[in-house]
Amino acid sequence: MTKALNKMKEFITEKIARGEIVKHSRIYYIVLNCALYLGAIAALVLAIFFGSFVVFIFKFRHPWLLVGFGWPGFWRLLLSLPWLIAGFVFVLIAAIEFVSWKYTRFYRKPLLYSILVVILVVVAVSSLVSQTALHSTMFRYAQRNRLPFAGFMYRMFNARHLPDGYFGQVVSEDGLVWQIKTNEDEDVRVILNNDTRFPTGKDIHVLDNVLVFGTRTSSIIYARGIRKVDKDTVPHWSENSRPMILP
Amino acid sequence: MEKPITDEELAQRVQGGDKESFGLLFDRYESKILRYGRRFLYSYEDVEDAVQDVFIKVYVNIASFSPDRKFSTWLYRIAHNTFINVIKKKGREPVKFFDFDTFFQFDLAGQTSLDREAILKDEENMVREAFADLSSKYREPIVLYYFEQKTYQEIADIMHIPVATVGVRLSRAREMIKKKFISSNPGYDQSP
Repeated sequence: MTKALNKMKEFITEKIARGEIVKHSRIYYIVLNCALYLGAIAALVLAIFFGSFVVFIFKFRHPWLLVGFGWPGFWRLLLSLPWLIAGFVFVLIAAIEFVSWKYTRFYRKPLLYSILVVILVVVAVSSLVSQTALHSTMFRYAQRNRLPFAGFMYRMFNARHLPDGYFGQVVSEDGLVWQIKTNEDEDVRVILNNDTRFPTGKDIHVLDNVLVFGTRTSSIIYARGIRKVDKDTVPHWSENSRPMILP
Repeated sequence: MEKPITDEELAQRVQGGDKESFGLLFDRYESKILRYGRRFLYSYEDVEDAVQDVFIKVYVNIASFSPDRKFSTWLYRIAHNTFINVIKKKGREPVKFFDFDTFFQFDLAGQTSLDREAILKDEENMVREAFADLSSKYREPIVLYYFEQKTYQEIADIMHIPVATVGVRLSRAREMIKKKFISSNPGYDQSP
């Protein structure tokens, strides 16, 4: 065995002497570590940006209102959420974890702790950022096609209605046929039936703001449910105002 | 009497360009790393090639070693990565990117040198027999703890896993070894 090891030592030291095995310089590691730190920071900033977008969309469109309409409503709630974007945020969190795992402070403790810390930071800062005018400003630029990179993302979630959920104000009610003006200024007829649900009660009158859940064909909605909502809940904006956001 | 030069001081000299100091480090660690390699890569050939790769990587990456750390832990970490790559390359056993036992907090199993000595003395045959059946995830902490005399902290730093997970894997590995040994030696006396 000693012979083999001597042979190995000779082999390596000769290669070093001939310059075939060369040390990396200190600068190499400085640059590498800087790249890792910058990458992790960039991932964190992106996670916060997209996370705050998800929070903003959630606050703007109020999809949780659909839950009151039973399992069909819950299913539409799931469809309305920006899953791809939320998934991308988790990929970024995983990337941050992967980089942090190289450092003693992180790998010596269970993975759960560091993941929780990263998720808490992203959620907390995203919630704060969603309260600012960042996304509403980006929405306006996207509407005017002045946002080259993320414009498509804002336009995709621009809709002021939910999947099968329509905000509006009651104009008239006549038994099972109502007339509403949607928050997109459309006159729509709402057809009710005996199975139509009223999660907030049937005490709905003209000029009340409502959310109608049902299938729409042209200017008719076949209502599976109707609920009253606050005026502030109805998502709308004009060119000069900000979207309505819950406090 | 002159104080012997520490590994960390030798590593600093290698960083400064002293090639002879690298030879000294090689002499100090060659047989340890070879022993670690032979036991960890239990049924793999080309252990010597892997060990050679380890020392080449040590030299190439010496600038990344920080003298306030322990050199042997740093070296063993390079050896761990090299040996894991050998296992992945051969494809004989799976090497998971992520293990659930690193995810949660576990109670740290107690460790004493007495425990280690007694077990090694009585169960060395047991360990040798059952080794081939252990996956790399359990085999490595056994090698590092019982044969390389590393502490839980050092093993955590070498394998980049939580300290508590080291205890869990050692405990599970011991159970597996014992089960395997007892099943193949029905007459084995388990009484203390």
